[in-house]
Amino acid sequence: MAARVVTVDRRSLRARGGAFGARAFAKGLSVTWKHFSRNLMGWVRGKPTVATVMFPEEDVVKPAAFRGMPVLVQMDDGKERCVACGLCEWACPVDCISIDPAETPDPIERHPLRFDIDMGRCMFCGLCEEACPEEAIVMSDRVEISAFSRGGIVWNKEDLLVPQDQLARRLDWIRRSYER
Amino acid sequence: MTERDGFKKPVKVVIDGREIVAEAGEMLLQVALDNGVEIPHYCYHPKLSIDGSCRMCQVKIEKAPKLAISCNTPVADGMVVDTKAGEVVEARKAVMELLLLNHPLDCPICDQAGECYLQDYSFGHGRSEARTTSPRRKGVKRHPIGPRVVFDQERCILCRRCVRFTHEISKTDELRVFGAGDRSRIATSQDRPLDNPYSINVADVCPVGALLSADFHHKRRVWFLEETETVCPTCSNGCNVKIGAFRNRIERLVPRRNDEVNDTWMCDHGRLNYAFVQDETRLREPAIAGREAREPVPVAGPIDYTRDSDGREVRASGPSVDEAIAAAAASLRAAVATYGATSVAVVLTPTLTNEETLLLARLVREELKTPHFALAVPLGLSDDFLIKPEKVANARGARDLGVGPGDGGKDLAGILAACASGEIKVLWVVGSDGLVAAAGLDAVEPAVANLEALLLQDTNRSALTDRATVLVPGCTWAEKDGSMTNHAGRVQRIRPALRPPTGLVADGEIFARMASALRGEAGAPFEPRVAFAEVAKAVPSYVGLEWARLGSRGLAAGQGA
Amino acid sequence: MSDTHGHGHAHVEEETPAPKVRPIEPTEDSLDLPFEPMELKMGPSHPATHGTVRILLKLDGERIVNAEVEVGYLHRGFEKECESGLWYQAFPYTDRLNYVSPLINNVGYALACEKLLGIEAPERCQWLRVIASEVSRMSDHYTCLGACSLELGAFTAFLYAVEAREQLWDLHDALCGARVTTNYVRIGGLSMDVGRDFRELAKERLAAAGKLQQDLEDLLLSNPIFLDRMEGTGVLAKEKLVQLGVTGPLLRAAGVPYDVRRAQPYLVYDRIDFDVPIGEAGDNLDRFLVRIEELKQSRRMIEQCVDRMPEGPVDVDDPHVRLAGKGRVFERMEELIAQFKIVTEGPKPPVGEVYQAVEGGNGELGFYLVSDGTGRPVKCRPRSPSFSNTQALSPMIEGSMLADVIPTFDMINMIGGECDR
Repeated sequence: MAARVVTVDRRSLRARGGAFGARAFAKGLSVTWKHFSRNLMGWVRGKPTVATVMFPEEDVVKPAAFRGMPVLVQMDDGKERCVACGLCEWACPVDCISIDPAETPDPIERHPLRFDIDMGRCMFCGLCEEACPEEAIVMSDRVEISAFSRGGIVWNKEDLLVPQDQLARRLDWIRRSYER
Repeated sequence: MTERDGFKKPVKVVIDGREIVAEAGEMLLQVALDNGVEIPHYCYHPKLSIDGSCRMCQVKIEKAPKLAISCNTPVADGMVVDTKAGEVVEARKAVMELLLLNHPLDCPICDQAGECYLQDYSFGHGRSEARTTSPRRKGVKRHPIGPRVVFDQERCILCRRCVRFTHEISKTDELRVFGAGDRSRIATSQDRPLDNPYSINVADVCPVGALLSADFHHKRRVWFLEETETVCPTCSNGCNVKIGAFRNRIERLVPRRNDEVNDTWMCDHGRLNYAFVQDETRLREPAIAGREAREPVPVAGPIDYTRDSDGREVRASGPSVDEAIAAAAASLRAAVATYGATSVAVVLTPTLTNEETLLLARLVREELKTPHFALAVPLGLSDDFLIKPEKVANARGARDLGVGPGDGGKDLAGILAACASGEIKVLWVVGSDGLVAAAGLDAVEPAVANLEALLLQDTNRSALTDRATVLVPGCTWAEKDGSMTNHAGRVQRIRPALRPPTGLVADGEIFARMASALRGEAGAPFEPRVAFAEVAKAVPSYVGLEWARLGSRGLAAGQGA
Repeated sequence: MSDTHGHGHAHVEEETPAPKVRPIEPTEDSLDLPFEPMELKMGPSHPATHGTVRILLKLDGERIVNAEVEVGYLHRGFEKECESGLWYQAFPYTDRLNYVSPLINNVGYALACEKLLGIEAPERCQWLRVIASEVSRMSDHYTCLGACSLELGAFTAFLYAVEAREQLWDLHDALCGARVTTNYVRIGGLSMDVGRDFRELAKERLAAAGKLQQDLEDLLLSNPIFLDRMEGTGVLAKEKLVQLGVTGPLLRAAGVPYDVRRAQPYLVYDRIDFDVPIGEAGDNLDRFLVRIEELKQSRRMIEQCVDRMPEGPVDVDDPHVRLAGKGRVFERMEELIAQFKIVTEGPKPPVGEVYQAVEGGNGELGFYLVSDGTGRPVKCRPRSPSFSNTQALSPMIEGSMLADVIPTFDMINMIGGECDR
């Protein structure tokens, strides 16, 4: 098992192009014709073969591992799973998370009074999801975050809550993939 | 020189191959810690009696049959200690496992995370994997064991530091261990709440999150706090503290160790007395009575000039600090010119640093030349431990610097009477809340009623601030650099932990600008480090004290030589 | 008339013509006329200088008399950013160094940190890291070849190359959830293991990319226009390249067989079969062909790895370095504590310094790390292959024609993020 050194072979390239490069042009045309006819037939038959995805009418298929924007998991009683432990706030390399913890009369004792993510700063790196010891913040598959103002791109707790059954795929993925 | 005279015999011990000299009778653990050898421990505390219950500080001593707890082993000459032996490592792992066996998985909701001995020692000395997931014992959680302390029984590791504290230090005996064996619990006896003037210190000594300060409960993660070493300003004891700040707000105060001042303790009142730095009573804008509003600064471009660095709206309509200083100086100059220097009086509540106080004293003597210069020192309850009767930080410093009436000058009561009678036309008060507290509103109100001008230099709203002719807001101790002298004559550094509100400057800088305005020529800006050299020269007992040597613990006056 | 800048005569050459350096000699006439070289500022905003670089050219007609290359327009303070965070917070920043082959940067930094800590990632992790590196390398090369064709006028070839790159980005997606800013590798392991269907997905995508690559080759490699632009242009003697610190395909095209995977094997490169292609002429065509061959070799490597990759953990079993699985954190005290300590304080490499090199898309990508025992790096300096390679641009284009700048610059493949950090 080793790495061999080989020299690239360019000897007959120009020759293969033929007189006046005619053979090269013919070959090139046949390549583009192949793509064109395949794509045309595909369009005619209603089964497109082009790589282009007609966004936003169509959307790309995202794998379970896909890292979109971070969201907060909402439990069935409507409350966030987050206990404002602050690990995600600390782990974030760009300091886009801002949490004010507070006491709650619930048995869990602690919850975020305020949970803001500046989506303009967030780079969807996923370190917050990794740091969370409660599976309370996960990367969703949503990537559209545009806003009309700088203030508008800061998402607060209510904006970020997503019911946990909508995040089942991601939660399942985290549990499987982070297992040692 | 013998032991009978109180001198200690030197003792040589070898710890991890390093020869260390100690005093006979010292405990091995303290000797190790003093010499930079890390030995994990829970129940031991340098200011409390020895408990020997946690077993975490076990070390291997040559020729001893078993591992010994270093907290209760006096050093002996020739002792050879190994803190890294395999047996020690295994013993620590075992102790950690037993402590964590019944410990609730509360880290995400527990305030102690980030300064928790359990976390630190488990990570450094414990097992890497839990061997059980069986349920933990149940106990009382988030119980208000006292008005200022929250208790969580499940997290308690029964080191008993808190029990020893209430017995030996606060001497109030609220906390006891009830039950025995693995049913032991810490609780208060006879339903007496944990309520003494030093109650929150149990949260400091508690190595885990079982006892927590209610004021800091669920407030902020400690790893976000920027910590600054300074001194508490609430009374003249000058307890050494650390300010924990985040986003330019004080989140908490905790005491620091200074064996000459406060050991490792501070009182609850001082610990909680920081809201004034940042609450709605804080003065953020100068004011000149009857003055027309300035034109607001036009906002151009993406930077919002109507908000200060804290995001608060800045009213761009009032006078600037320099305009207020100019108005105050004009008022003083006019009174001196028309009625003479004795028509002007200055009252100081000594919450300022030594450097600022010296500058003020000089200003009063050389520019204003009035002999009416008095201290207003509010007094309150004290005890025989840390709490002192003078409820200001630097009364001793002010007195050392000669703040007081000049020749023919009146004291505070005299000044107030002279104001009421109209003899004194212009009164300049630095710290009007202190004046009201010291003299009483009954004496102050008639005094200010007849003045031509009341000049106030305050940090917070008081009963008088609405009546000021000119109001120049100063800065609090949390925003200043300088030195203060405690009741016993110890000169200690304070350090700025926060940026002052936008546009405001320290009191020393206000005095410098006031002096320039009175003189009519620009002077040097206020520099605490430079000014300290003059302070050391001005006070005979401070001779030889150097700014660089004040450090974190300060120096006693007389220690300079 | 033996000029290889052919005029279309059907002269079939059996052997590779020796590279002819074509200095354009000033004629007697031109010396008589007073002339000033025309100064042309190419970039930093220029469609062909992808990666923002400025080339200050002094031209005599079409001939370049002097070329001064200014880099730094994409400097973003990578080293300073790393110093202000913990060791593990640097990974998203490493993505953005060579942003067309992000996983190689992740792997390089992780290997350097592990060298500092004295630990080694488990077997499966090493195989996965090789797969990740090669997928990224293919992505880098497709981008380079595609951009080069685009700038020579072959738009269709560019689209095919980019579509091939899309196949590989789908593999990035399957590995870690992001197409470009991957943030996949961690100190002591990976952020996550791959799904069960990864092997089939990889083979399927590589086959699709391979077909597109064949189309690319068919379109370009015998095309006389393409050959005329690339053959014999941008040549620099290999000794000079070595002196400048050039590495990667740029160096190998000149005939120097230096590849970090062969010279100082890391991960499992010493256990898989692959060829290191080199050129002879050292011109732009050789560089193009070297990359084409490397793409085939990378595909070969990935297919070997997905077939031979063992089962097992992907993270090192050291709670001081790598977080435990989420399931364990919910119900085990020691692991919960370790999670808190690692996230807030990070792994703490002992005091020391280390240099670790990997083979990036452009050459030797090294990370020089200095630790003072705390959780934050004292220094984290990437040895950037693009930076050294870009030095070669000036000597390569001085004396040649303006149009030769384009293929030469493209074949150097200066990636702004890596060059300027």
